[in-house]
Order: sequence, then C-alpha cells, then structure tokens
Amino acid sequence: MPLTFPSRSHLPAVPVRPPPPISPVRLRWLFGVLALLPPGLLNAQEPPQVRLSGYIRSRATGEVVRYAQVRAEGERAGVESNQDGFFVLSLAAGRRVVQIRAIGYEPLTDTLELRESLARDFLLDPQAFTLAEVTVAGRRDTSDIDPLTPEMSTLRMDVATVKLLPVVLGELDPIRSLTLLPGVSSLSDASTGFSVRGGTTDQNLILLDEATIYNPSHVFGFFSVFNGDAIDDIKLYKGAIPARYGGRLSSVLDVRQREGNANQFEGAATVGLLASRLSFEGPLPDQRGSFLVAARRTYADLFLKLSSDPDLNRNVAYFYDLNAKTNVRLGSTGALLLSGYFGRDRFEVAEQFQSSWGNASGTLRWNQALGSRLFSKATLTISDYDYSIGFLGSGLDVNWSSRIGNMDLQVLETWYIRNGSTVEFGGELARHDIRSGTIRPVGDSPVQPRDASPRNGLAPAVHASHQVEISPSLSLQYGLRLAGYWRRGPSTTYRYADDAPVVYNPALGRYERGEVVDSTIRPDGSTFDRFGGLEPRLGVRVGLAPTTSLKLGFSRTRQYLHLISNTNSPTPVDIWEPVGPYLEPQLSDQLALGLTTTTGGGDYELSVETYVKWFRNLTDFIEGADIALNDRLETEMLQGNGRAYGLELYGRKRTGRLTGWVSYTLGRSERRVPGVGANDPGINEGKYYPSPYDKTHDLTLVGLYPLSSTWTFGGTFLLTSGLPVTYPISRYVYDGIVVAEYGPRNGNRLPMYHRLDLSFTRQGERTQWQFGLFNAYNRFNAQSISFQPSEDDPLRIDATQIAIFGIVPSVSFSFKF
Amino acid sequence: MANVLSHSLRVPLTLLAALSTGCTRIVDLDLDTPPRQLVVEARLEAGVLAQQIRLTTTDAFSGTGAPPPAAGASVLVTDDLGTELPFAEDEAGVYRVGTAAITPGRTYTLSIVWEGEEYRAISPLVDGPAIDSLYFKFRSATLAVGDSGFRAVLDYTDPAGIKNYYFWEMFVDGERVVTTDPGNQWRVISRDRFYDGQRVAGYLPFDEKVVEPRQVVRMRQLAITEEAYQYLFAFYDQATGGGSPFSTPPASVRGNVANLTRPEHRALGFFLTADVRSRSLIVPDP
Repeated sequence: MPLTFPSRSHLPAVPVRPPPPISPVRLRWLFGVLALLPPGLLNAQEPPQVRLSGYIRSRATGEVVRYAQVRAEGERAGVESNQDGFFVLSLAAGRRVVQIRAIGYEPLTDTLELRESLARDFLLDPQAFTLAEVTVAGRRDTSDIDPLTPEMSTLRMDVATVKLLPVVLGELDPIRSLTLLPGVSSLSDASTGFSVRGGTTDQNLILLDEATIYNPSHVFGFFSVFNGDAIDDIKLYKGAIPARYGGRLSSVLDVRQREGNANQFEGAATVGLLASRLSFEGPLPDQRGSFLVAARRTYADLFLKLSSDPDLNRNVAYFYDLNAKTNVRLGSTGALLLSGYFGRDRFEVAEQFQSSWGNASGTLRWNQALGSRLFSKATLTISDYDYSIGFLGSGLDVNWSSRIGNMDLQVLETWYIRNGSTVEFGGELARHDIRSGTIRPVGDSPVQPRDASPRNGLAPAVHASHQVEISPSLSLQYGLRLAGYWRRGPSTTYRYADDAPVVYNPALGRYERGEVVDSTIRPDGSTFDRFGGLEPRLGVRVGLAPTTSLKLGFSRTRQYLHLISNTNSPTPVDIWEPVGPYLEPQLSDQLALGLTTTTGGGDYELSVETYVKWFRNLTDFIEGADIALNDRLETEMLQGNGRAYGLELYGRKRTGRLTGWVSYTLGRSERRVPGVGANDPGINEGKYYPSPYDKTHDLTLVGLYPLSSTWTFGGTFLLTSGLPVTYPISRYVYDGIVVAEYGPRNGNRLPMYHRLDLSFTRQGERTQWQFGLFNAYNRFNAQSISFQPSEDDPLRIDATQIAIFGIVPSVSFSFKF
Repeated sequence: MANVLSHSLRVPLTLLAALSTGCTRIVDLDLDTPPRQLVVEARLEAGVLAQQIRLTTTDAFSGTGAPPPAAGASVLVTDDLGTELPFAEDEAGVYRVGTAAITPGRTYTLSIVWEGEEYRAISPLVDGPAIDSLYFKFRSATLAVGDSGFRAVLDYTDPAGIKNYYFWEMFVDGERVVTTDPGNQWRVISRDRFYDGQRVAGYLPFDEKVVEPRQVVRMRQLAITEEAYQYLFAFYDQATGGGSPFSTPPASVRGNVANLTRPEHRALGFFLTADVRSRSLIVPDP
C-alpha cells in the first residue's frame, strides 16, 4: 500500500489567513512536537477526535478508486485511499466538510455531522473527457510525483493515457510505455525485457493482482501479456521498495486488473491489425459485486491457413489471453476478490519445429476493514509458467519442456494510528516448484525420456514498516524485511574437488567443469540449505518549500531466484534456478537522492533524482555453457559484482492543450567477474566491463495534443545510446567455415537509436478509431549485430546489423456496448 | 537450449520481417589488425592411412579468400606408447604423413613449433560404431528447409553404457558438403545423452543438401571425444549460429591447443582424433 500524503496542488487555494503572532517556523516546530504526542493529551476541551473510514468508489461503475485524496476542511493534513480504495481519516467531531479528489474524477465535497466514528463509502463521478476546454486539474495522467510524500523512485501509469500513446502494431503494451519514463530502459524492440536503473531483466518482480508473472511476453517478446482492457493501475517501484515487497533486486511492477462495472453490464471490442480484444463486465446478482472477463487473440495464423501454399498453411502461429476477475462485497467493510489470467503462445513450423508456452495465474484475496483502525488483507496466489519446444524431422525427434510455479500466501495488516502515522506489517510464505527440464521422444524417435532433478524451495518473509509525518516538512518511511529461502528435496546435490564447481585451465585459457567427488540424495520434504537476511528500507522527505521536497531513500534487497539465460535477449526457454549450495543469493543496495517540485499550481512537475546501486553475486556464464537439462548448473556459472549509477531528469506539463513529458536518464551499469582461482584473471581480466544493459543516454519526449473535440494527437520521440556489443578483432577458418575471433567483452556500442511514433485517436460516443505510425521516419535502428559467413563469399564474414521494425502503420477500431 | 531458438527463429523472424518491415544491413567495420594467432586444423583418423594437418593464421576481420598459411612449422605427433609420427610440410601450411597406424585406444599428443613458440595438444582416440545403413529420403520443402528433393539419411546403433559423440561428414561426387546453416550444432554433431544404447533410424545430418540421381554420396561417421564435441558445438554456435537477438553472445571459441611458450598468445582451432566409419551409395534414379 503506498502510504502517501495528499498532493495539495489538487486542492483549491485556501483563503490566506492573517500572519500568526508566533513566527511560522516556531509554530511549525511546535505543531511538529505536538503531533508526536498521543491525541487527547493536550487540551481536554478540544472536540473529540473521531474517525471516518470506508471505500472510495466510482459512481458509474462501483469500482474502487485507489490513491484518492481525502481531507477535512480546516485540518492540516489529509489521507489517501490505499490500493483497495480504503481510507481512514482522523478528524475532530462536529459538522465537518469533507473533500475528496482523485485523478480522473470530479472533486466531491460532502458535509457530515460527526458525533462518533463513521464508516461509509463515498462515490465519485468520473470526469467527462472534454478536450476542448483547458482544464486546470484532473486529466488522467501518468506518473504522479508527489513532493509531499516520502515515497520516491516510483512511477505510475494510467491505462487511459497509455491508450492515447502510439503503440506497435496497434497493441497496447504497458511495459513499453513504462520505458518512456526515466530510469526504465528497454532492451530491444523485440523484447518486453526491461532494465530498471541498470539492473537485469530478471531483477524485476512482475505482479498481476499480486501473482507473479514469470515471462510477461508473447511472440518471443514482441508483445506483453497485459491486455489493456483488463488492467487498471500500473505502478513501478524503481528504488525505495516498500518492505512488503521482496525477492527481486531492481524493481516491482504492480499491475492490477479492473474489477468490472458493478452497476450495469457493458462490453468493449477492439479490432486491430494483429489481434482483437473483447471484454465484458457487469454486476453480480443482488448488487453483491462485479465481474470482468476479457479475451484477446491474434489471427495472423488465419492468414496462414487461407494460403494455398502448403509451405504456409501447415504452420501455426497465434497467442491468446484470458483475464477474469470478480469482486464480491462482504458487508460494507470487506471484499473477496478472485482473479485469474491464462495466456498461451503457439508456434509451429510443419515437421520441423513446434513450441508452446504460457502463463497462468490466480489470486484469491480477502480484505476487511476492522473498525476504523485496522485494514486487514489475506491473499493466496498461484502462478505457473511452462513451455514446451519440439524438434522434428531429424530422426532424433524430441520434445523439451519445463515449468516453474509457485503458491504464495500473504497477510498484510495496516494499522492507522492517526492521520500522520500508519504502521504496516505482515508475512508471506511461498512455495516454489521448478521442473527445469523434461525430455520426451516424439513419434518413434529413439530418444529416452529424461527428467532434470526438481528444484523446490520455500520462501518465508516477515516485514514491518512505519510511515510517519514528524512535521509538515519532515516525514519518514522506514521498514524492515526479513526474508529467506529454504531449498528442499527431493533433489540431488553434488560436491566438487576443492569445493570448486568451476575451475580455470590457464594453459588453454578456459573455464572447465569441476570434478564431482560425491553426490547426496535429498529426500522429499527435507530442507538442505537455508539462506536469509535482513533488508532495511528507508525513505526520508524534507520539505524545502510548500511544493518542493528533497527526498532520500535507501533499500537493500535480496534475490533468491536467478534467471538462467545465456542469450542477449530473454527468450521463452530461459530457466529459473533457485539459490543452492553453490549459488549465492543476489544482493543489492541502493541509495537515491532526489528533488521534486510542482509549480504553477500543479501545472508543471519537475523531478531530479540520482542513484547509486551496488550488486553482489550476479551470475554470468562460462563460454560454451550447457544449460539444457543440467542438474549441475553451478559448473557453468560464475558469480560476480556490479554497480550502477545515474541521474534521472523528468519534467511534465499536466494542464493545457498540450500535455506531456520529457524524461532523460544518464546512467552507467557495469559488472566484474573475478577469477575463480590462482592464475585466473576472470572475465575481461577481472576488470569492470559494461553490463549488457548499459545505456548511457536515454531521452524521451512525449506529447498529447487534442486537435478537436474528438481527435487527439499523440507523439513520442526517443533518442538513446546503443547497447554494448562485443566486436571481432580478426577472422580465421576452421574445417572450411570462417569464424570471427572476438575482442573485449562489450567493448563497443551499437549506433544511437532514435525513433518517432505518431498516433491519431478519434474518440466518439461509443467508438474509437486509432491510427498509428511507428518509426515514422523509417529509421534503421540496429538492435543487434552479427558476424556470419557472407552469402556471396563463404570465406568472408559480413558484419550485419539487424533492425526489428521499419515504419509500421497500424489501425484499430474499438466500440463499447 | 536457447540457441536452438535462433535456429528455428529464422522462420518467425522472416514472417515478422514481412509483417514489420524490419531488415538487415551489412556494415563496414574499421578495425585494427591484431597480432596473428596460429590456427590448428589437425585431425587424426583411425582407419585411414594418410593424415593431414593444416596450419593457418588469423587474418584481418575484413579478409576474404583462403586464410594465410602458417608455413615453416615443425609438426610432430606422438602416441602414449612413444611412437613418433613426424609430419612434413607438403605445401605451405599443409603438413602430411603418408602412412600412419592410428588406432582407437591410444592417446595422441600434437607438438608444434612455429615462429619460436611451442604448442601442444592432447587427445585420446575413441572407438565408434559403424553406420548400419545409408539411404535416401524424399523431403518436400517447408518454410524452414529450402528445396524439395532427396536427402541422405542413415541408421546407426549407439553402444550402450558409454558416452558417445558423433560428427558426420558428407561428400557428394568427391566434394565435401560444408553448410553454414544455423543449426549445425544440432545436426552435424550429436551426443548420445538422450538415446544411449538405442538404434537411431532415418537420421538426417545435412537437411539442406539435396542430392540428385546418379551422384555418389559418401557419408563418414566420426567418433569424437567429449572435448571435441563441446568445441564443435561452441564453434558452430559462434560461426553459423544465426546472429539474431536470441543467439548466444559472441565469445572466443577455446580449443585444446595450448601455447607453452606464451600462454596469452593463444592458438585457435582444435586437435581432433576420431575413429572413422564410412558408407557410400549412388543416388538411384527415381
């Protein structure tokens, strides 16, 4: 739950009061001290404090409104509704005026007679999306950087704005949209892998309604699994990760599905160039709640089937997603939510290759407000990612499959002490099940069935954190997480000569697998290895001016699951490996310092943030690593250190006809793998070398401009440095085939990348047309470079740059019913 | 396993390229030429009398044509019984011996002295099974495999209980078939990890090569060591791996030839010892 303070820029100007007799500084200090004292200690003649609590909902659909600002007129501070739309406001009893504001909704003012604590819901009217007027506040926008909360290094995306931005092939991709913001960089046009502040792609925890999604991509990475019709809120923590999250080093991407319209049935359909979507939602009988079902499928394969060419019509290529969510209210203070996701990709080339992979996730959550002091939440999630690849036609036809799954139980309690002080605590227990390789014959192939040893683990964690406003210009958010990982059987572990699974052969200049001296069979249910540690988290906010703050953040995180991949971009066949006897947990410490300010009454937001990250136990591979069905992956891997540092600049214009933002990140990310023994210099001679995600400059400009009352123009421009590549130094020929010999790892760069995307959206009453142009000036953006024998002269090597997308137009049509 | 994807990804990338107008572009890299390294193409084959070792050097990256020979080296092979086999330089960079009794079960050491530096490689020679039969199968074109036509397939039986590694060579009308397709590392070499002791029928190592009636096809099956298999796997992965964003990152392929004089001045290539079985057949008229 993001514990935040209200952004005063949303609120109307308060009448200026005459200057107080005591100097404002002394007065603030006095209030600060008084605020720390328990209420009621002071003047017994003050009106009693009561609590107003409940859910903020949309009047149109009944869905909860997250992060709405709730304030009582005359009170200094207000509160914010949490991720489930629940808020608790302490205020003096009597006739009080309550003001509620939320992005995308009309402000609500309500007068209440409060004699005692009251629990009730508040309904907000969605703001009419009028483009012709210049409105001061309330457009649905992205990334709320609030100078008044200690929360920092956080990005928020609103799906409604994302839908107006240009997209590739007409498919909305929230992950790609996040890369338009500072600190988040994409790896390639062909991948949904993203790097946050120099971290690797597996260091991002991707949650859909709190269930882990292991591979958020379709079609090898061209599209993400998030269906724009089904999701609501996207929040990315780049640093200062709250104590309730753990398990990944660099970021947490928290995506929530929508709950569905609780008042009436409605649906939407979108037809695009590549895929179509259909969603349907409505209330449950007896006003009990709501449901939402959304589906998406590509139909590129239908074109293949229509072809009369047998080369084409026997191939299969499609993906589909299914999202569902239902929300049942329990009384007026609780809710039960059930949500799920199921998606599948299939790709087959007749008689040659078949592949299929997909994610499945389910969440069951119960939340309950207990009085006006405690908000309680219990969540059970299940995640599963599996893939299967088949190779046919060689005589050794084989199918290879793998799966990772987990079941996770989390309990989270939020205790509202008073308006400026909230405590959150809870625990989590997850069970991981990894079957990292299963081989089966296809047809009458002589291949024998084989299974890799399962990797099982239990990940327990407890955490507690406190957010407190010490004074109007000083607030603090501190927390501690204690998390661990227990490796459990059934499994087989190995021991190596000299305790070295990888050894270096100095004569041949290569790493070799260590010699196995014995092995131990670990029975089912036994715990054979334990890891754990404390992860402190801290955020401090110092107010420098009414809408300007200095923020400082520190967080330590550990990661117990490593993504084993020795390719440049993540592929669907990458394997997850948990920590074990020879694989230490990854560790990261991050320190961030930032300045945020809003000016012009909220019209402009500016943020400058700098960060430093230290990494330990990052994994890298020896040359020629054999990772398929390998029960002894420790013989293929080396662990090393890393560091990343950078500066993020962000400016946003939120009002007026032209809105948008500018984001610039200057960063460096490097790693170092020292040698394993004597005479081993390590990778790149043990010196720091650029990590594969090192992008020096990353500039993005985004603009949205309403052309008329129905047409909106959207444009994005990106200019980034190229990613590192390893260049050759010479060529040679072996057995009739030419090959390159390479120089220092990641010692060179791809050329600069720049691209302009345009979109035109026509919004009607029930329909929407969107026309897009991706890579509008058709720039050749090299995403990789390869060194392969030339087509013309087999003994010459061609250095070939590959660009994924040229200019790509797209059209999509949606309608609501 | 991810490098398998790059082989099979030729197809989706082509499909998507058609959809997405992505493309490729050949660029000129202006690179300095580093000091030359010795490249060893050494093969000792049991069942064959004459043996040949070719030594070349690395060349500038932009070089074309045959690589420069490494002439004037002294090349000696000894086995673990002390038998010496001196090689004589026949043409520049090519060192031959006329008759040699190379037998499975021996371990061979290759010693080279070239430009004042001494190099050494050691490789045992392992036994291998015969090809049970060689024949031809018709395959129609698919998206992934080019033309329709006959292809040479073979049957063999893997010996049970021992780790076997295979490397196939095909000659059509006396000319060696050299393929630069992504996927060589899965076809041209194989290991019995998943089919130990089984009979493999209809194995197709060269799926791109179509043979015509009346051509003489000779298939050679080499039993190689685990080290040689790993070298060839890494070599094909790097040399012909496909170069897509899903390929393994570029890396130097490390062989088994050590420079004893200056270890940092590494030799490339491999000293390969193998037992060879072969079969020949003329492609029948349809």
